[in-house]
Amino acid sequence: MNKRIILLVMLAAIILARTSYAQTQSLPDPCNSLYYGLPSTFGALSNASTYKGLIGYSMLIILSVLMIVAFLYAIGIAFKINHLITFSRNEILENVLNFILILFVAGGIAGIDGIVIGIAQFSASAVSTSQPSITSTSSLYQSTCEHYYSDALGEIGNLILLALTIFGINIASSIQFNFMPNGFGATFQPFVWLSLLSKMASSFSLPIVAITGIELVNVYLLAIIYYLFPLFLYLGILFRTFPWTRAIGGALLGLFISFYVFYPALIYAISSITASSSMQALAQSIIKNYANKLQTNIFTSSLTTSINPGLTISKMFSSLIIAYTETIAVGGINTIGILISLVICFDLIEAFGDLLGAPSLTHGGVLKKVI
Amino acid sequence: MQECLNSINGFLTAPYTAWFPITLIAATLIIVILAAIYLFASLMGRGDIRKNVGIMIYQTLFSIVLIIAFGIFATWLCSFNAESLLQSLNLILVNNIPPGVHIPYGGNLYETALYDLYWFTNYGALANANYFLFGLYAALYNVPSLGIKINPIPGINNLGISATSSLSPGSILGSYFVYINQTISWLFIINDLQFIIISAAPIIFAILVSIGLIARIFGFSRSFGGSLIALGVGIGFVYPLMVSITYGFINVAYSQLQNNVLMNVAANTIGTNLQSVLADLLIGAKTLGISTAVGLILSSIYTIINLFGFTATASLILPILNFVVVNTFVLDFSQAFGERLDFMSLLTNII
Repeated sequence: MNKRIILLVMLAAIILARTSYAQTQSLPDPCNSLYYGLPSTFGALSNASTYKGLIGYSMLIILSVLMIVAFLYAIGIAFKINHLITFSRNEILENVLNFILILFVAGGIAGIDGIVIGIAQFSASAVSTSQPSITSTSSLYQSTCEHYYSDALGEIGNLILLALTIFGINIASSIQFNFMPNGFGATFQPFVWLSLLSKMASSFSLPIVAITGIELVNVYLLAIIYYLFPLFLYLGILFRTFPWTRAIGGALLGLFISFYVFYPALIYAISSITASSSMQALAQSIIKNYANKLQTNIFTSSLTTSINPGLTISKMFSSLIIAYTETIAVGGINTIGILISLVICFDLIEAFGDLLGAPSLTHGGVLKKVI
Repeated sequence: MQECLNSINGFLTAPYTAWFPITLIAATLIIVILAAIYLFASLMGRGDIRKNVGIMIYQTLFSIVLIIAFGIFATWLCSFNAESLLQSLNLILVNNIPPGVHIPYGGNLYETALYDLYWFTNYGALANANYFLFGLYAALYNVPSLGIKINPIPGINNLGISATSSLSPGSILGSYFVYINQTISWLFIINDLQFIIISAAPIIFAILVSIGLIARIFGFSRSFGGSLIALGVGIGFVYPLMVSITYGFINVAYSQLQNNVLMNVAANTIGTNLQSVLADLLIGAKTLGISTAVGLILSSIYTIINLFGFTATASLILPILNFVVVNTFVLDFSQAFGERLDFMSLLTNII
């Protein structure tokens, strides 16, 4: 008797879980913690004061290199070494160009917030009008992170709903009427065909898991870009001052501009279409509604009034499947958005590789091969 | 970690210092031989040999300058206090370290990189994901089946209605869970492989750069020498630098997230929600109690999923990022110094 009560309580728990899963309150929010909750000393690389000092150092290095090159030029003239004279002339020109480039980059850095925000708001304005105001690079990153994180949580919610629906269907399909009082007779399972629906519904878990995974990876990838990629800017500027490391300097600058500036701005615009919490809430309410109807029909219509219970349930199930497909499509658009943004950024890297003289980033570059 | 540290320290204290002076002696010997050939060529009246040897002497002199420059750079690299610089940038985890873990205070770049990598795989995100994986596995599979049997006539078992179903979420997520398990295992292997590279980084730097500097003297092996120098600097300097910065950042970020988000959620969940569940059940508010219990379970699920997301991103993206930057460096630097060398393409082609 006690066992039966325990099992009934468990059954009730499953049904109640369906209705109360959305009432959770203390959910982790890594986005706010990542961009605003960390100590101020953390992420010094992304602080403006760091690169201002570094640009000064790179100017000093350029001047030192210019002095050495001038000295080599003098030796070349004195000893009539044509090779040295040609090399020195080219280097002097390169360093002057580098000086101008660093001044240009420094000017760009001073307005980097403006550039990033401008690109984000321009692209977002094409797809949506109800965007939260973006006031800084960190707020853009945080806002994009929130979009993708809330969408990933929504997908997990859908997965839990799906699991609970499948549990319900499995229980219904296993209902068995026994007519074997003396160990001989017959059993009847009128809802065993529902296991087919269970299998069909469970096939939706793969795309949901995949989309959730990609979106969560994107959430933390954004944080890595935000905190670590400014390093490439500093190293890029420094490396461009030496003749042998000029190409790698250009490559690092290309990586920084493509991924730090353009990537978040692009995915922010794309995520604006679908990753809103209202969109997810709507999708979940539709699924919940159809799932409840399906559950009700399994236990009522099929046993009582309906002439053709299978048809009613099939209709309900079909509606549920459509709702799931729509939800997966919402997450799918976000995932495709990530992929499109990545492709655009790789193309940009190639363009910057050509512009800044970095052979590693030009056509058929290493990043493409790795990816 | 201690074995790797011993390997690095053993190398830094003894044979490492010998490599660049040996290279310098070799270059000096070469210059002496070339000078002798230059003199003999003058005596024999062979202007062509004299001219070629003259160019080689210039190249050797340039190589000596390079050897001295790389020797100074290598000495600085191994004595430079990378730990304090990274600590000032908050890129190395030094707080809340369990006893027995050696923090490389005042350590060089290799020791710092090794420590960061060791922390990530043994105490940080990857280690915790592995612990939780076991817990998740147990939670997903070790649940009872639901079975209900209603017999209207007492004593007669097989007359009535029955229903059975497994409550295991593993029945839905089973195959994907295996993929997650395999992914975590592979990530462990990829991250652990980096220990070997970091342990070997100083010797790779010293040997490849030294051989490359000698090879650059001769015309027929100049481009090969340049490629060796680029590869040596890439693996021996750029790679440990990237590892110290990226893994240092991830360890600090994970520690902060764990303290601010993950543990707080767990503490609130256990501290508040569990008490509410018990209180609600005691006073008879079963619906509210069950609802809060569901909240507790879901909060835990979301926390674990966050942990997995963080770990997967860190342990997958960071090695790729580090290798890409090293390869970009080697590719561009080798082109500037000698022959274009794309070792990642070579590796991917082999794979």
